[in-house]
Amino acid sequence: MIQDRVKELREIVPNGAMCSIDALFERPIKHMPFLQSVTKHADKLKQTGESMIISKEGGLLLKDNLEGGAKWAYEVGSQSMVCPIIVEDLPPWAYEVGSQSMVCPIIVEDLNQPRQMLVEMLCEERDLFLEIADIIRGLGLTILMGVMETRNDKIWAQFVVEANRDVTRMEIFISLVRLLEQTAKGGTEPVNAADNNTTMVHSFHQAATLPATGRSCSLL
Amino acid sequence: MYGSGNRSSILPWNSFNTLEDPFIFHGSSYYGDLFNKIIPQFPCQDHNEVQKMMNSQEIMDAKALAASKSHSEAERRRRERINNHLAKLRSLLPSTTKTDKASLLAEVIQHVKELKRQTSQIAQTNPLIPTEINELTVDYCNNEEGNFMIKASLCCEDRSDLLHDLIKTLKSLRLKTLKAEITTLGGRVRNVLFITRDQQQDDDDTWPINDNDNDNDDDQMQYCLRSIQEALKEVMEKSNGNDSGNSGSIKRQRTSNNNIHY
Repeated sequence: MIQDRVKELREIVPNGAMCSIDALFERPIKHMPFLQSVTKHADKLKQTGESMIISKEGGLLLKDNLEGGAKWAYEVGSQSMVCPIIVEDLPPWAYEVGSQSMVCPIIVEDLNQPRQMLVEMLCEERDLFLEIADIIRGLGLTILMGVMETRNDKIWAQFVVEANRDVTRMEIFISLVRLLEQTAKGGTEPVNAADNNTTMVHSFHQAATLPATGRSCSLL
Repeated sequence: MYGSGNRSSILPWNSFNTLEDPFIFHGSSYYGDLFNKIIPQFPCQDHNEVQKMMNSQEIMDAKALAASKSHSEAERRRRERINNHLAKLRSLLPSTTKTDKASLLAEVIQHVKELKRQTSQIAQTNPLIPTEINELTVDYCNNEEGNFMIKASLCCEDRSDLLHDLIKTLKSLRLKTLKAEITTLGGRVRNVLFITRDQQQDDDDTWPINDNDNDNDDDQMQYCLRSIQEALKEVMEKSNGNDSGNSGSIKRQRTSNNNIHY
């Protein structure tokens, strides 16, 4: 009777025909929890691919949302925080949005599941690609669903992530800015761009202590 | 169990150095205990001495007994392993009242079949979900503008240095990524990468030259696909290194420059 079951098991387990009985039994031990996870959580993995920053054709979306008021942060909806990094002097490689330039905007947004966030960014740095995903991973964020592609000659990335600890989106945002700055500096970067990256982070850090003019903006 | 010359693989009768010689004891061993039991008044010091004391039949008997003892030990351990697996399987089943092994196995089979049915339906609506076994496909594709690209899809256990290894591998092959889709679920991850030659890095001609010889082109292209496939296979299989048959994966902490601080 058992032999029949073992034979059946060999048929449904991949490569089950060749292995010993104790190895054969190890397979479902490994696969069952994974398969159960898929059935439980797969429907939660939704990615629209819609961006808050840039459309598929490469047109900037954020410029419609920028208002004269807060130069350093503003809200999109009630949950997300957008921090375009604004530089007063335009380096030749930055792109303009109206009279202000916006470089490497990053969005970190809380999602409905605990510890899950949406991270979206638009990056000028062409030498980075998978490195960005690696940075995200290194922050203790599992990439549940991530997509990265070039749009309008920049790298657009959107990650649905799950943190391995309680962490605020502000912490994630600031870490990302610092790491991107460091990584970009390490690569083949034009000198003025590196300087401007530093300027960007400085102006952000300074601005972080100032209240926004006009509208209320919750950071945490 | 003994007598035939073919069994010398159990006791290498012909190749003696002091470490392998069963008659010279460096610590406790089956042979040591065995011989000391058989001939207690003559603790064995020397191979030659012992050979003089026992005739070849007694030696072969002793060999066989030792071998069967170690064999039954191994058997016992194996049965223990199997029973542990069965207990673990029982704990993984959503609900089971069966206590006998045959019914337990039947329930496991049933459950796995049902899970696979459900997940393959899910996979149809979401092809990015990772598979339960490692999977690698590498093939050519065209993008919207008709440019040549390679699409590589890799499914394996998630680990913190996986992306690092992918980056390193692609760099060594002088490839760059145009698009990436990453999906992690249940501790496994699928990486779909659209890659192409990195013009900046490319000094030699590692990619097909545009000449009229179509056969040569085909060969070169197949060679490219194969090298990429082999390199990515290595990355994928490295994920198995952590797996000792447990359902959880051991997450290694990278030495991190990425600590969050203001």
